[in-house]
Amino acid sequence: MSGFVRLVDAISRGMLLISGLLVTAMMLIVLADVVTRALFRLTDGSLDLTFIGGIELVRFALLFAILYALPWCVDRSQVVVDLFTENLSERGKLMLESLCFAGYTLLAIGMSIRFWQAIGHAQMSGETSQDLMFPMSYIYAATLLGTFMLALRSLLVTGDRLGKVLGVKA
Amino acid sequence: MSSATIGFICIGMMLVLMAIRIPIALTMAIAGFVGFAWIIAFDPAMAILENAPFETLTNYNFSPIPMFILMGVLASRSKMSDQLFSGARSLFGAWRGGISLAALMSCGIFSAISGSSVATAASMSRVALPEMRKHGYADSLATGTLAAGGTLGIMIPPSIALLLYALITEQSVGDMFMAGLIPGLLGLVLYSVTVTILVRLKPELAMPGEATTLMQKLVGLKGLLPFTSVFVIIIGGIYLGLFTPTEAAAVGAFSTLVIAVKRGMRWAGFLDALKETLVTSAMIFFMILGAEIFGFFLSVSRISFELVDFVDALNLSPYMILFAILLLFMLLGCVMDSIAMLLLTVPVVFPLVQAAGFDPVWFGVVAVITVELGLITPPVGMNVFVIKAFAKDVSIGSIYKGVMPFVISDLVRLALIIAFPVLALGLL
Repeated sequence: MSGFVRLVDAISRGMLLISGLLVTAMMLIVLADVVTRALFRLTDGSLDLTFIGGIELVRFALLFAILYALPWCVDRSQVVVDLFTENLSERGKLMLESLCFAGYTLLAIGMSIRFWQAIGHAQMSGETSQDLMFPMSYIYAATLLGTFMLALRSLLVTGDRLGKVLGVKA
Repeated sequence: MSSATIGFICIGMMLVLMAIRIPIALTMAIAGFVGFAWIIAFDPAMAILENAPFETLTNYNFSPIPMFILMGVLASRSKMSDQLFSGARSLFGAWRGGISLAALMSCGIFSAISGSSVATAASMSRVALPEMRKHGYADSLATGTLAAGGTLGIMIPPSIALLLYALITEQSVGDMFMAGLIPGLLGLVLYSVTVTILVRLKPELAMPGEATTLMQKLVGLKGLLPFTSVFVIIIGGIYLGLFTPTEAAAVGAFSTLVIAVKRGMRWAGFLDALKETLVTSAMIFFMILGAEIFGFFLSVSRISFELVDFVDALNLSPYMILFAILLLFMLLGCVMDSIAMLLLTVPVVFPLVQAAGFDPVWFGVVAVITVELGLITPPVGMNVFVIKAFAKDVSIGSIYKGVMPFVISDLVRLALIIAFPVLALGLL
């Protein structure tokens, strides 16, 4: 079991690295868009390096940058109101945490089911993105990877917290 | 059962879940999903689980959020804040309470390239707190100054809170940023006046520092250059129409990256900065996703309309409605994170504000100042906790005591902006 946990953690870390690269890509795409547009204006249109699809690339980069960061961040990026549970025992807090991550597991499973269905629909209809004509089935499939990993990691964190409550080593 | 009744039950359930330590993002998602399924049906509610994340995360207007966070992280990790503080210190350090004034000025300038209050408080505390303590400043003044100074990050543009408000209420991001500028600077001035009054009344709170020559002051000003240049690029570019406020974030992040690389940041440091950026971005996007699902439910529950009808029936004056909303913000701010509070409450109260005839941009500024108060008021003041992490031997009580004069100063600013809306709308 611990080998599987390590594998999931390693994949989540890898996805986080991809997220980081996508954030950088977003920055560079917007910059390229701004610079080429400025050059076009400065040269009265004689130097046209502008390109189509910049906004779409940024939109998809944002989608995957955030989605692929969520599995690694699910137990690191939460805002909680701890005013009323401050004096709870450590065991009680872990119990509540396991409840929270079980909630994330269910939510991510629900998302995964819907994106699984969306892949089928997009394949049947041949739906593509507006500017760059990417097949949407690929986009949904890549999205499914993110929500599936979020579900898996949340499930493992739930198990970890429950294991600590019960005094069992995962 | 009516939609509104179901709506109130689900909101009650959400508050209970929040109180038992369930993350705010998840409670909004659960309440939104359950409420929507209850009012409409289960299958359409499942469809939200596809629509909400996809629509939100492919929304181009949200793309500046990770960029603005990256800017702040790069500035902090490349130690630009150190140079900034020493520059500000060379100007005011010799005065009694001068290091506090320098810290406030540094916070204000740091805010100009960081959209986050917590990032501003953390970056400046690392540099300024040891200096203030070394020079015998009272713990309450040193920590209070930094906790309050950090809140400037939420108002001085670029601000993530103002950006989110603009997106929730469909206002122009550029207008919101412009509207935040004078109130942000006014906050800085009033905080400085607060420090000056405090040290006049109680000279033992702070000792005067070493005097600096004119040459040292001029050399110190160099420390402000990287920040002012990035700020001028962002605001100048927007004003000249070279890029949109959304694109400004990427331009600003790139400019900060260039400065960071010039200051010695390498690939490993950049990767660490990206990691920190993503942890913070994920936190905000978890809440945006939850709020989006909650938003679907809000629209079918018709709670906002019921609320407008209810308030209409009470025949309250517009300003009484405003004070009721601000009181609600202040109360919620005591227990809730500022961004979460904006995402949760603005969609509910905004129709009321519109019905009362208030300017939406002005209300955004007023709302963000009120939310900002929550960052430094007990029992849950995020900035206070950040300062506590840097001053482990100072009690939370002592930090809250130090922050109180600045809370009063914020209330004065709030009153001024309510009385004179031109302070927020003058630059539009």
